[in-house]
Amino acid sequence: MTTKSRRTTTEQPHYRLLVLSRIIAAVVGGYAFSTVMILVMTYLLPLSQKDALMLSTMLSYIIYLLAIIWVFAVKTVRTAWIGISAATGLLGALAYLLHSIQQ
Amino acid sequence: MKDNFHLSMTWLHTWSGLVVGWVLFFIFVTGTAGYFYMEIDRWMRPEQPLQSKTVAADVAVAMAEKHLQSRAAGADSWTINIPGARETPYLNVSWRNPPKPGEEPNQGRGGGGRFGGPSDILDTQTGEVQPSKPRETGGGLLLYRMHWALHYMPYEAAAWIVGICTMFMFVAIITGVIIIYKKIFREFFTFRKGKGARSWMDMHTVISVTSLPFFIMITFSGLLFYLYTYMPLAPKILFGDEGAQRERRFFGDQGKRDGNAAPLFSLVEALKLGEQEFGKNQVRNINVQFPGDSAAIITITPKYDRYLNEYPQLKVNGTTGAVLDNPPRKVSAVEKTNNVILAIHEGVFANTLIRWLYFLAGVLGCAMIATGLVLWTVKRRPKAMKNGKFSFGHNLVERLNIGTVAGLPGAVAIYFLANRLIPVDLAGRREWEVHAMFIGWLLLLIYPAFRSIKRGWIEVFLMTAALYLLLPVVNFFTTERHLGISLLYGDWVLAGIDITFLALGCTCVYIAMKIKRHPSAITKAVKTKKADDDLTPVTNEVLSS
Amino acid sequence: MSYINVIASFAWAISGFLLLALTIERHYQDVYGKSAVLDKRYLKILYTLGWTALLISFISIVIYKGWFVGPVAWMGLLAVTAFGLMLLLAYKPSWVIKAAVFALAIAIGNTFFSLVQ
Repeated sequence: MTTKSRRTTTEQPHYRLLVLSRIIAAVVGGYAFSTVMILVMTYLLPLSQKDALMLSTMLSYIIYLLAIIWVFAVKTVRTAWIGISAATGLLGALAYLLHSIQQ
Repeated sequence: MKDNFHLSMTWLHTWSGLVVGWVLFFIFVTGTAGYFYMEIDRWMRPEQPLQSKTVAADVAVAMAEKHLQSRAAGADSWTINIPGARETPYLNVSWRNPPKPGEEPNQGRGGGGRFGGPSDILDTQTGEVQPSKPRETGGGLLLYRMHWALHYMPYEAAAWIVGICTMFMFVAIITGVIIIYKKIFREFFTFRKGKGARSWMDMHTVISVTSLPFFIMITFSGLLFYLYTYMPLAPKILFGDEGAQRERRFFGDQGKRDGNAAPLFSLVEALKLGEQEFGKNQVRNINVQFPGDSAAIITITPKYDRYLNEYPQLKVNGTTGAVLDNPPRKVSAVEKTNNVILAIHEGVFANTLIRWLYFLAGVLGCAMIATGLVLWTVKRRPKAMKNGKFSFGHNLVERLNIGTVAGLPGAVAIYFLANRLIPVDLAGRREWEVHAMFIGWLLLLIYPAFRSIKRGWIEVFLMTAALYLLLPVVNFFTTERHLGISLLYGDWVLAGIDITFLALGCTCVYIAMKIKRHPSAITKAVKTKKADDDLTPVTNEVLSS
Repeated sequence: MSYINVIASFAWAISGFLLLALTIERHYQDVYGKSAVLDKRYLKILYTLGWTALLISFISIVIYKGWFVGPVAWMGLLAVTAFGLMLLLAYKPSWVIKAAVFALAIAIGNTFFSLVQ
């Protein structure tokens, strides 16, 4: 398999399915990623909790945007899914860790 | 996703823009009109008096106080709107009577017709009450409200739809910048006319690039209006089901009566204190809580157009005139930043000139979306024409483009026409004005299905033009607020709106004529030479995506 | 006469944009004809003058409306001005030099007048 055929070109079979997959990775995966990022940032930012939450939520839209762009920029759909899931998982674990530290 | 980053971003830009383009156009049109919602409100209530003639603030306050003493001596609160600010075209007094036994006392700031409670408009020359029984209408406010609440659906549903479209637009803008990045300065003013798809691309690009700061600001701040609505999971996880923290406007303590009668501090003197604090002619309204009681409090508010969105207020003891301590609500830097961004979106602080700039920027936004939508169809014609027929999707986009870009402005004109033509005493006329608008839009969306693309564009633009040009005429025959009267009197708000209708009508005629003279701009995509086409070549790849 | 600053801001913005447009080969050719070439010596001068004019435009509107409203108004002003100039370059390139001189005259006159006051 050449590198070219792993791109989502129209010549590939299941083109529409691959596009749909990317869209889900971007919209749902990106959303999950941004949400977890809000949690982590709320714990880490040196502000009052209310302010930290507000600032991180404001920034989360930019983060969501960047996640969407990333998902469509990477070469293969597989990379997109692995990437966004791993990033969300890692941040989620970090958020959980920070949460338990704070207790 | 595609063979390289650039092509992937092009694909993303095209689709995120196209899928929500028509809804975004609706949002932009209602938002642009919304910058003048107060002015449109006045136009849609022609029974209201013409703009108050200018008068010194203290004269106005004295007249108002005299009137209130005779009409509303026992009221719980008085409000005097001093004419001269955008929000106060009249010398308008209102009051709130004490609640009847068993009734809840009213919450919120005192008075003004909008918040309930009786009100009178006073003639600034004589102090007499001017008759004003406006027809039931949603006015400009309802049109503006559609910008975030759409219509015919629950508020939350609309919030989500608008939010998703805004996020799509955000993606479209940033991917657009990414695509055009290297050429931003080199082709800043470039518009090559008469070259089919190339010209549409140029126009779309120039409008987008030159207004880029405005579009980025508008889109991002739009998302912030529903900060926690769109991202509710984090607050829920952090704080449990107490719910996300919401911004609340605090009205402050409502206070209670003392029950002891005490003469009210002179309101003209209170005005002077206000002018000392805010500047000459900078006081917008005066509110009195419990006039005639020893617990009376006078609140003086300045005009909007110098402040962000935290409006300072001067509070004064209602019997002695001593200035009261009124510390502003403590606001953190983060919250202040959020408020500032929202304030820039709404332009509450804008004076006439800046408001017109906002309006023009909004029009440019509509043009950006429109040129993008047309560009999509024009780019795909060579392939479609080679195949001999257009796909269903392509046809649908062509027709929706006509019905929305040319038709929606026409529907808005129908809203205004309905305001004049629906009988004043018809029950539910407020809803029927809106129904007329959407029925009109539906018809203008369906009409192009029966015409060729070229004819569709020309005819719908001409219909929209006719609707707008009719407006001042219908105004003349149905009200006492037409151009003949407003121009002579000097009511520039009402005159300005009629003149804008004329201008919009003429613009639509001009566009229709232009399409008639150069139909190839719409119906034929000129296949550009490779040398000319230094952006992404129109390859099969891009066309078939 | 508080609107003087706004007129000055517009005029400086128009001048600045037109001066900068002339440094772009495509637009220089729009004005002076195909295959006209701008002397390299003048490129640097036009470039500096253009950006300076835009800077003065920014300063004028900030003086008029303060640090908050000023930049917002300036962005709107630039958008509208740039759109108008794009149409000028596309439809009436022969007017560009006259427009630039006219705008510059108003800008300098305005600024001088308000400084003297």
